[in-house]
Amino acid sequence: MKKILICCGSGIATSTAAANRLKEKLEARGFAGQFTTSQCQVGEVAGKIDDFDLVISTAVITQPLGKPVVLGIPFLTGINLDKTIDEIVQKLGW
Amino acid sequence: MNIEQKILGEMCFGEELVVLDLAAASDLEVLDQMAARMLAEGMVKESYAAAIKKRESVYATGLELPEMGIAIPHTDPEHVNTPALCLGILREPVSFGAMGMADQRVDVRVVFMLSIKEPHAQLKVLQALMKVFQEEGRLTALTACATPKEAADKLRELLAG
Repeated sequence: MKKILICCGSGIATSTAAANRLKEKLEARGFAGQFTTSQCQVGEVAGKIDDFDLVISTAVITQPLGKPVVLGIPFLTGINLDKTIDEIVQKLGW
Repeated sequence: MNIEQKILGEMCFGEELVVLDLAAASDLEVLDQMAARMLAEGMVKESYAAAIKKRESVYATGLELPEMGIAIPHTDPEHVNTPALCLGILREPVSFGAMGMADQRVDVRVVFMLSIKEPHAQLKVLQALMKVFQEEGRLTALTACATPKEAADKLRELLAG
């Protein structure tokens, strides 16, 4: 089971929209039941990172986390979204 | 259409929450004018304007879309009375920080200011907004509206499907 942490500035708006879109896209690629998602504020990521395999953020993350980070803006704009899903699949080692 | 008739059952919206032909010199001035409208309609608390400007300075919300730049400013639930959406259509594009990208700017034409109470309770509106962003022609249709009522009706129609 892969654990994905999705964050944004507030932890309630863009991360919610991104999480929902991510689930749709990963399930469409046949990964249903193989991942879980959680949401938080970007400031909370460093304290939670140990429990997760990958971070998707719609806000700038400056500190090194030791885990892969993917920019979540394509989930909001639709631009390059399939490429972003490719990147997530690859970084999760699927 | 009444402001209390919530879009997708989730968020208050109506012509009272449309700021058309908004003229401003900066992103923070845009936020001031729109937050004042949210406050006047009772959707947010006095503290909302300062909070949303502070949030925008730290976590910018500008998005570069194929049609035009937009922004979706929002802030913490503690400053919110009622979930609502305020639509701002700017007379001239105003530069906002780009979401998720340090030091990048976006020329913004349309602003969707949100007052959000809890994450999943406003998911349908958030998803519908993303759909509006991603389908060409929809934002242009909004900016072509001549009156707040016309713009409010158009956005309701776009968000409904």
